[in-house]
Amino acid sequence: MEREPTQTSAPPVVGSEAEARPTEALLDLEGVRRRDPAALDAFFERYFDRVYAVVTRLLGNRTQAEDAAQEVFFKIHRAAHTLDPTRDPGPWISAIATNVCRDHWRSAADRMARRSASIEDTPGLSERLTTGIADPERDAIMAERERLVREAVTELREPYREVVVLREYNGLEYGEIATIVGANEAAVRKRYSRALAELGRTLKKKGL
Amino acid sequence: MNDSDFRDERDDLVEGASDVEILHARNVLRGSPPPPADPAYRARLKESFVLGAIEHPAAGPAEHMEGLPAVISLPRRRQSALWTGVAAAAAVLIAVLTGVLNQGPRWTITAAHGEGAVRFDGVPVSLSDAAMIGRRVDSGVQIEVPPGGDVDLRADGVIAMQLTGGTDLTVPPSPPRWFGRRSELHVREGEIRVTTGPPFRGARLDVMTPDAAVEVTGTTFAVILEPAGTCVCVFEGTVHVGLRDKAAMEAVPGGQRRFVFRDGRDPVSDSMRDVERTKLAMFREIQLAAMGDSRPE
Repeated sequence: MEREPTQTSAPPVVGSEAEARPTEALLDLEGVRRRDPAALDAFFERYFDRVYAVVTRLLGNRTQAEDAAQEVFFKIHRAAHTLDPTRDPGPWISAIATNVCRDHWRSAADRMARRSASIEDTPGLSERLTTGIADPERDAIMAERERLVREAVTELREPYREVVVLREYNGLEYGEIATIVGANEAAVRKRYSRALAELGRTLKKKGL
Repeated sequence: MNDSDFRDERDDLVEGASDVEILHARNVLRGSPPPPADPAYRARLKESFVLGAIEHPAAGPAEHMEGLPAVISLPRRRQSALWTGVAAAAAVLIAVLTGVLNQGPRWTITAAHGEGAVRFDGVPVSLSDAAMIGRRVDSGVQIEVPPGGDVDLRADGVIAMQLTGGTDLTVPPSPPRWFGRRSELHVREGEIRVTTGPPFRGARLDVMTPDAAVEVTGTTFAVILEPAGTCVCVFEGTVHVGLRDKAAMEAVPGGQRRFVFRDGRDPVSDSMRDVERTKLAMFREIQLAAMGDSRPE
């Protein structure tokens, strides 16, 4: 379900519940602060897909994304008592996810992973292993498309990649993104449009 | 997303950018969500997050795996999950052991007199069968003492009770050793005498009758249920006595008694009768001698 985008509103969230924001109030954030298991369960269900989408797109590598998502939820758990129950935790979570990915980019493990052979480097292989066999031809096409999109996003410079992913996959407002990436809102808007233009050209070259 | 939607956001975009390229990029992105997480990984992560057992991914014991090709690093998470499981199991074991060790001492029968049968949860056992009575008594068991009989219970040196003929009560758990040191004794009928030993210090016993509530933190006292209400006689120390809903609680010092009426009249306090003073004195001497201390707490 897509929301009508406006100049100030965020776009629909790709790959997660686009309508999640209006129901944020239903989350028991006080329970999350107390680390109540039921509240943590609901919290995880609400945010895991968003976190996973962001770290997958920012890192472009499934194994690193799984480690990053684990690190994000580890940090959320550790800092749960600092959560402000009166505010939408989405931007806070996105900030944690972005910072975790930045740490990965800077780490030796990331550089090594980029140089090393990986299941992720075999075109379509990782997706074929998990997408089922009901329609192998369609799966193969989707897997190839996913690989090309992942490559194209990963080829974006990191400041551009952050803005595009936070906007498209987390549905954040420009102001929220600006806070997370440490830039002003106008700069974020510019990065977003330049990133999309660059991405469009890359995708065209890749035949998408 | 259609063209008009896109136009709404057009002024976000910088000059020189191609509308076609930008629109195309957004459509491709929005039509290509990242692949979902592996369900097993997701379930493991969720469980550890909810249970508070989540670890930093670099905290696993397989640090030497870092830097190897990503596909080879999968065992690190399995190792981490294993350690998480071990830690969780250890935590459960410690919690169970702590719970077990925290339990107060078991009740034992120290005396049973009279004729007839004492009933344990409705099962009659002859008052002369001390061994069977000893096996039956436990916390949570309902005991009915026949008229003319009496039964003495003791939980190590912590607390002792004398149940006289006609008493109907549920044996409480004896106060735990280190934390949560509170227990509740429900008396439905009859007359009991209670004394506490030095290990009771810091614990609390609440005695509930159909009429009254009695809060005990270490003393020797009797609770006597009569047709008109409940009489609490305090030999030493102080107990607090009030209505069953714990309204009108009042401290009753040694040598005093307080009567809580069944018909709702205000409770009254008075001096303890000599006959009850004598009974409590005898009970206290016997029990404290058995508990190895001459002073009540």
